[in-house]
Amino acid sequence: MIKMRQIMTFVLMAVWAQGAFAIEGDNGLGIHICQARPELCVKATKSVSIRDPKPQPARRGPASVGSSFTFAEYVAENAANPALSRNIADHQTAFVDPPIQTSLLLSDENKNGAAPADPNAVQQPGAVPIGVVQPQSATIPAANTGGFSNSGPIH
Amino acid sequence: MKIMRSALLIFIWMSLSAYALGPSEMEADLKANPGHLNTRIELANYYLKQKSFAKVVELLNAYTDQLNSSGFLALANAYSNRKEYLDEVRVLNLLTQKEPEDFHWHFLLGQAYLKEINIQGDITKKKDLVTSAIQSFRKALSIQPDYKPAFDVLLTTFLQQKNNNEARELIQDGISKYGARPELLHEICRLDSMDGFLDSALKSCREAIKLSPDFPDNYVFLIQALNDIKEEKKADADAVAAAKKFPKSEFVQWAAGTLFFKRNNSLRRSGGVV
Repeated sequence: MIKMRQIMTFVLMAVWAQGAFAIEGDNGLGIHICQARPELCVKATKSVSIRDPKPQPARRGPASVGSSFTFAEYVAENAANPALSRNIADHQTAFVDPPIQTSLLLSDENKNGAAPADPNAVQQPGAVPIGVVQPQSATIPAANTGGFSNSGPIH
Repeated sequence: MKIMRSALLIFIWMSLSAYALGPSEMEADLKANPGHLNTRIELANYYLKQKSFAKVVELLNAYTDQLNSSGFLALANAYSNRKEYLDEVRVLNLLTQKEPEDFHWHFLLGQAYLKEINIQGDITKKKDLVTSAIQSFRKALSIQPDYKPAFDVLLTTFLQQKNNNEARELIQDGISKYGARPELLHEICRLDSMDGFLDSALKSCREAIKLSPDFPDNYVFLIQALNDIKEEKKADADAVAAAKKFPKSEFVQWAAGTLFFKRNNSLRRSGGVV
């Protein structure tokens, strides 16, 4: 029984020492176990020379100082980043078309076939361009503002 | 037996000591062995959590030819926190080149472009950045079509750009992929109604109302489409019904008021009302 345990323990230690040495390189655990128990290092040293003659970058186990930054954390940070959440419409005026107007929101002049109003011109009384829809919506409760943000109630 | 026990204890102690490397030990390790890349990345992640973003850049920026995805993410995020979005774009570009089939990195790259757009003052550069952002989101979607966050941000970008045709196509694509979701139908109803795709607007707005009967905007766009196709009686009836249904919706009340105001003006002109 004792023999069996001894064998198992030595096998475990040998496997561990080999792995640790191979992974950790010269500064890894292998060097400690070699100093303490040189007889265990024969196989480990061999394994280093077989696997990679150069010292490998240190690979520690689960970091004591915390885990790595993840994609999910990155996305969560981005979601809170004002640079992403801010409405960028203000910056886009140079390369977007003026809003298309439809009859409900056209001025009477336009309804009668006159040329569409210049979107940059001062609006005539009664002329309500479609572009006003969004600011109008923005003043009403958030649930009514539309936009692509699951803003509508889901049934 | 005693020897075995002590050997086991040594084994356990050594194992634990291997897992208990602190930042100073890692610093020392890196000083002696600058090539220990995993230690470098681990230490950078530690500094990232400490919000020492300059340290992260200092540790990783010179090693972009060797970093793994964890290292790239730490470095890109450090740049993001420093509001150096062009560098974030550069790092994420390297990551997408290294792992081109991973949609996550294309998605993050697209977001990095969007961040740069917000601080970029040059209109031409901004336009190029928007194009790059859209390309990145499209790439992410082509690799992983079911990744809805990429779809959402791409659609938001189109809508902010007032790129309605692209948005309309994307929404149709989204409806076929993700089903007739309320937010998609609402958006297509709004776009169709505003852009004069009236038959499509009637259909999508009615579907949107069916799916979200308590969301007032869809009624307004339906009324607008009805009015545009000269279905004035239906438009009026729907406007009255919507105004009654949503007494607190400023948008609905405004739309109904505008409709009847214009109708009244029109009647006055034609002599119907004195």
